[in-house]
Amino acid sequence: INHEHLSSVLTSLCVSPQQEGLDDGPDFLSEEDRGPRAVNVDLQTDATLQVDISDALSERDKVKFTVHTKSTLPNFKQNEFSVVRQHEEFIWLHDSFVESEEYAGYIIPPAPPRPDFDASREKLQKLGEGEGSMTKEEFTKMKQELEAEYLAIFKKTVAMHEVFLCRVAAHPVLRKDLNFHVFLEYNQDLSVRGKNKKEKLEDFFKNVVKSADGVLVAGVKDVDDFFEHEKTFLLEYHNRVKDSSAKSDRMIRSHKSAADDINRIASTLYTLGTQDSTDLCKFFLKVSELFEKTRKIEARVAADEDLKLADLLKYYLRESQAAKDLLYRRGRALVDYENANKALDKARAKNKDVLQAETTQQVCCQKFEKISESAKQELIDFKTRRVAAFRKNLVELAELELKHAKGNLQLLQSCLGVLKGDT
Amino acid sequence: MWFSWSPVAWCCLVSSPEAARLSAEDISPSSNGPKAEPVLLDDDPDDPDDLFAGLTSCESIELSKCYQEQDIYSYTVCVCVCVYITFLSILINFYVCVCMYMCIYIYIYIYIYIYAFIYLYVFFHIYLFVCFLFIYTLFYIIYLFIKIDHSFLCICAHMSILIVINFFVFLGDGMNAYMVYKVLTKTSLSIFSRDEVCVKRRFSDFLGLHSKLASKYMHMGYIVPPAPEKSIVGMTKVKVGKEDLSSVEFVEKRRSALERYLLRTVKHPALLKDPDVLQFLESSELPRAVSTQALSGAGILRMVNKAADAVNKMTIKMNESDAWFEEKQQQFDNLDVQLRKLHASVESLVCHRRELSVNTASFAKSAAMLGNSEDHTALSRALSQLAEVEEKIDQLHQDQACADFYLISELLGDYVRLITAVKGVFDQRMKTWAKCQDAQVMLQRKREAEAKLQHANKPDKLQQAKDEIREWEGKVQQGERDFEQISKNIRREVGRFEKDRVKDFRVVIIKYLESLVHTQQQLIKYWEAFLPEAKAIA
Repeated sequence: INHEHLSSVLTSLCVSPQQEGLDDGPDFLSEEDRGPRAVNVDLQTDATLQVDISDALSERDKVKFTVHTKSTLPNFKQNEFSVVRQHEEFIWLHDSFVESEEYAGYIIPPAPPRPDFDASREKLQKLGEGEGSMTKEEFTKMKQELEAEYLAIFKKTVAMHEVFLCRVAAHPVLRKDLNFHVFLEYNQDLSVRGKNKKEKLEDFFKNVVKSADGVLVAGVKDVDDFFEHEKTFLLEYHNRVKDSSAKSDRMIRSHKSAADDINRIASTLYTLGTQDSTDLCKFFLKVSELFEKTRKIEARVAADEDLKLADLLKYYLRESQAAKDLLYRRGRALVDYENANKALDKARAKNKDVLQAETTQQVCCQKFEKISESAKQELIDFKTRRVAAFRKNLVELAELELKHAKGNLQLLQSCLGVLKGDT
Repeated sequence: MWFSWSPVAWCCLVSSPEAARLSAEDISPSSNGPKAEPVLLDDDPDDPDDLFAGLTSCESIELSKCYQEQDIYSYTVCVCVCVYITFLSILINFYVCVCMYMCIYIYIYIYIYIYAFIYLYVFFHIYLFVCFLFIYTLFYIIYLFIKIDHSFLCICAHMSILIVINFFVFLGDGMNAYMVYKVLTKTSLSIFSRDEVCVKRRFSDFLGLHSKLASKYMHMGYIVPPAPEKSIVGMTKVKVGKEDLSSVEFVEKRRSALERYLLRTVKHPALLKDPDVLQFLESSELPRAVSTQALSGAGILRMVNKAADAVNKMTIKMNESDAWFEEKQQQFDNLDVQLRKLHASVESLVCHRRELSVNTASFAKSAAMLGNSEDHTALSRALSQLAEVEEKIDQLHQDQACADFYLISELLGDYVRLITAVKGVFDQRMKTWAKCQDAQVMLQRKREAEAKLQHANKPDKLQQAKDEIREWEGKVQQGERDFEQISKNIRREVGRFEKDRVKDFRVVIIKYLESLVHTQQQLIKYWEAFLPEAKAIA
């Protein structure tokens, strides 16, 4: 077995997150597409512009998203239309926002992460190699599990892309961006190529310069208390969220591997039960059945934790990074403004190029003030959004944990009752 | 933590009928070899020795106390019944006396009848006495039957043996340091000289005991429980003096393994009566078992023997006449494979659960820090609550991992080793058969030689040949008898082993499921406490 086979199997899978028909309750996957989208709570379902990803196709290395738009805005030719986009095009859109000066004062919604099926592919390969050493049932079971995992990652990446688009569409300023409209409407290939080596190297240097600059800018004390406070808060918060996110990932991974072990124990018990000649055979079969069921619940617990906790932390990691970027831009504008002031003073003193210095200063002042104003609002919004998202996810996490623990308890108690009754 | 499992983690109840009394001379304190005769079990198909009315695993001392109380209860019941019968009999006797007296009164004038009457009187009393004797024995037999019935717990085995291995000391220093374990035996069995004995033993003493028992009983087909394995790495770490968790765990693991080993040994009815075992449990001084050291002469001899055995096993092709043995061997092979796989999976589960608990602890800390840096007060409080919940859950996971380990993993390890011992016993049978076959071949050869000599007409050599033939005929008969005996023993031992296995697994798995239930209940409690906090975030 190789991943070609698997991806050909999955190519026929067209995942539609919008389907109402997705089973609820037992299938944890269905809760997923409601998950990340709900991370930012106040999405205005504004009738003027509604964007979603109606379909997605997974091919060998790429994922193709079908972006569906419903709009009453006059700049679009039709009211409803769809285009096919790939991940690189999303990144292009995000970068265009970041690079444009106009949007310097807004928190740019973080770009969706690259679809990463590497871990799944590795596991599939290992499974294929180990095919000889396990029984047929074990093999089919593990294959099913891996396929489910692949499907889960796939759904998650679709949801992430959708969240990005919805946030852009909901933002009062960003939704009017021309690039965004082109992205939504232009039904041919945008021919956005991935960055080649030279551009990647340039990016790398730019990043280095930017971080050095960031340190410099951060050192400048801000006049406004609000922004000063936000700066220190965001820095600390970002670091801590990064730490928590990494640790929660590790925790969930070990939870998953413990659940896998229970799976193996269950299948060995089953073999023992079928082979045994004494009274123990019924016993073993019953216990193996129990372990199968508890394993499913444990796996679901791990998946739910992943969804509610780890994804939340990861998302806010990216968001806080975007907020930090906003503050950096503002700091940069402030430094520019102060430099322009100094230049103006110098020019006035020397009485040379005063007009030019004045215009520069004016421009810097305007820019700075515009950024400050919008940044304040954005940061307040960010806080509200964050608190609401944490609340929602923590409440849901606790409820799901309770539900699963209760289910688990009931299974165990009923099995225990049967086993004790047999003796 | 797992210290809660250690004190008196296992106790065993063995009953033994009055007939098993060993006189004090049999227990020679200086026996360190095959001088002491191995104790044979009676060739009795319904082995009354084999009464295990108790449970075999993980019972606390409270339960054994409960059994003792129930013993007292059963005793009083029996005594009351007997007293009642005695009084009844005295009453009836008295009534009969009165009747007789009345008869005497009537016939007093017919004096010749007095002699007949006296004879009648005496005869009637003897008759009554015999009746009541019969009733007494009937009651005793019922009492014994009730003892045999496992479910009738209140009148269960009233003789018990309880072995606890407890606190140990480190003697010596440096690399020559060794652990000394205190073995406490509490028993009411008559073969022990005292009710409560406490002795100090080293790990090599246990190995010495096992090697002695193996050399005496394995070739007869008894399944001798295997001793815990030597672990140079573990012991070295402990000797070096590292006080970390792994060396403490290693010591605890070894202690509980030794306890289980001793309990399994005394559960075996023949091994319990063995003088070596009694000496091990009772005498305060035991000669050092040097032959267990890996690099001694005996150790090297053992390795050579093992290699020779392995080669022999491959070359002997046994002509199996008994389908039962073939089937059982196949079964045990399969069981071995599956148990090993299960053991490996359980060990990996233990490892992952421990990892999970460590990761949960670190996540809890980081969530607490996140809560600290959060400036929205309600959210900050909720996050610190989350951190607390996760910390408690981490402790829970750790406890669960210990339960996994001490209940299931160790049991599986023990059974993997026990099955190796069982397979060893089957191999012994094969060796006996091979010896028998060899003897037959030799006999055939001697007969041929004798026939040749008869033709060659050498009278003195003929006599020698005839003597040799007789000798070998005797050996063949002995070989066949041995083979019969070992086959019978193995059948009985395997039956006992299977019974024990069923009981052990059942009890342990139920206990494990109960621990899982407890974990889930705790989880529910913690998350229920957290939920209102999360909802309170404004």
